[in-house]
Amino acid sequence: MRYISAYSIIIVGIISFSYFIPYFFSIISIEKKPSSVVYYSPVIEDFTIIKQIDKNNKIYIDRVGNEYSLNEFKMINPMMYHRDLYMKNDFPEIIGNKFISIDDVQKQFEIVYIKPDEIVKSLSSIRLYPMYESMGDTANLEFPKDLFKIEDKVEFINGENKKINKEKSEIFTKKMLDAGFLFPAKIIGGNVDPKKRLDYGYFVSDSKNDIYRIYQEKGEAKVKKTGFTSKLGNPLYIYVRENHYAKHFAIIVTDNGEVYFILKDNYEVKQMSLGFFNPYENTLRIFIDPLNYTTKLISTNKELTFAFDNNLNLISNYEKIIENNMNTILATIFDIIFPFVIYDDKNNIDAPLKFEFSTKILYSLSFSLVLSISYLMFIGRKYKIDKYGYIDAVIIFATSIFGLLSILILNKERRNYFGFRVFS
Amino acid sequence: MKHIFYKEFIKLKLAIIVVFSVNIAVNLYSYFRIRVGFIMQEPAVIWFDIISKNAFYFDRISMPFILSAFILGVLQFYIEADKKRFRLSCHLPLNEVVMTFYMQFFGLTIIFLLWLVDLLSIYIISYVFFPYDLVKEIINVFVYKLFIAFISYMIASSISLEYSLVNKLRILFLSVGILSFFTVNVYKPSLIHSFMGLLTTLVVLLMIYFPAINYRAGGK
Repeated sequence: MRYISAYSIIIVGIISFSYFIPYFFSIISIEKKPSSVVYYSPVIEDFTIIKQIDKNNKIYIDRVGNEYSLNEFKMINPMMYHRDLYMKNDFPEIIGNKFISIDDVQKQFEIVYIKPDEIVKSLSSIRLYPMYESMGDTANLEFPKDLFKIEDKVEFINGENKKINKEKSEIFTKKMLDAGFLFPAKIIGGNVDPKKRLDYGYFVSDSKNDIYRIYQEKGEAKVKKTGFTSKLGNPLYIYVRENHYAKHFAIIVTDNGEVYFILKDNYEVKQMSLGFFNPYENTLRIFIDPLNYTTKLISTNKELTFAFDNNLNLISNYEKIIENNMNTILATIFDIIFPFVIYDDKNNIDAPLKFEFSTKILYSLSFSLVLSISYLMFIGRKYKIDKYGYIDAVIIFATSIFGLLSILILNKERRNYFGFRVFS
Repeated sequence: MKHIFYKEFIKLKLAIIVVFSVNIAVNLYSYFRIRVGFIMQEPAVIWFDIISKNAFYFDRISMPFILSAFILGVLQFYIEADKKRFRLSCHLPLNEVVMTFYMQFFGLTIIFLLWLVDLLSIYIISYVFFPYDLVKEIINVFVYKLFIAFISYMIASSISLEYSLVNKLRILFLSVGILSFFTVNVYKPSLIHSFMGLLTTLVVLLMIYFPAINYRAGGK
């Protein structure tokens, strides 16, 4: 028991250190790397880049390397800088051979973020939602006295008495069945923000993966079948943010990383082709303006920017490598001395602690081997190595610096029990 | 075991009464605070607020429970370490490992009973104010909290029983990371989380035998 208890403390130490030491190491080794921002210019019809040379200097270039002044750069990116240009009365009326008013840009310009943490949050959230009135008499939406859920049927739960409003629930359930909805519901997407000025209701996928829009208009249940059917994939996340001037109602992300827009025009569905997109790891940032959809697909080591026209046809794309913010030498040392790390993954509210092996695992194991042999040589210089010395060496080989530190911290006291002292 | 339990009860009866009273008082206070909220606001708005923030109202209520476990661990074994009283216990006609296990088992039993009281209180509060969809998450969250409380108790007891200050610091330094894991907020702990909690509990369970055997081994 004495050995087992000592090793249990060592295991606890290894787990603790594999969380703390890499965390502090990464904090002290962070440095700012030169960065760049990529925009699609509808004027030159190509990508433009703001490159940060050092702390105080930036250059403005296009993909082929032509350099621009800041004012010229704003003029060739009128959508991104529309507020600045409007302020100076410089906003061009013709962009990309089309007449675009500043009013159109201000109304239609929208930035959509689809992040892994939002997706996980939407999947794990408790599925109770408020059903707002889409055609209310006041400018502000009124918060309902009940919340609803959709599982095998629709159920409105009254807040006052916690009882199900059977009449209202049956009306919605019947409307959905009449529209062809097949219970149980799978994914529900909607903007629940009570401060919004407009309400699209909810977009719900049924058991076949067809998507329906459910909303309330003048107190009546309304259900519309959208063009998204099971043939397009399994919906994973449905993004809805109301904008009266936008062309779309919702954006659908499927479990295999395809992105679709449900348009307001007859609930037609159009795909945004991005190639490989992992919704659990990559962030999607979509800039929508009257002429283009500029989409950034951001992963840990690169950012892909896609330019689409306003019919979601791909125009061009641009790849940018994102450098790790850790000092390059220290990043390599990090990968070698830590064979694995436990870290706090803020993208996942349900499983925030993650375990990850080093990207240079062979180098890391070689380092561990050197550590464990050094340990044996060190204790072997003074003492006869017993079986616990070999067990220590195996632990150090498997856990590298975490195991070595835990063993060294506890060693003196532990060796008293084991019959010999290392640091006497 | 009965005698050890009786000895531990005599030793800790005041602490047990205080800990149970404080937890019940906190639960009562929570009930009245929640009641005020429901009087002042529409219930559906409160439900929605909780859901949209991805939080549970009983997260805060569980803090005194975990703290109680930690305090019980300190009180139960600090008394033993103080003036090396544990050496006297080692003279009982019982193997020190078995005796330490019974002492630990007593502490864990008290924590489990406290957990049952808190769980019952939370269920009562929830059935009064919240819909089933929120109530059904209680058990998942609370099983996870139980393991956190067990781990806190066992780390506290291991550190408290150790007679040497240097060794106390060593054990604290090696185990503090495990405790900090549980400050990371998990929204809806799954079965995997509870399983991980159980595994960690089993590893931490053995820690106390290190200082306990140290007494038998004649640590100075």
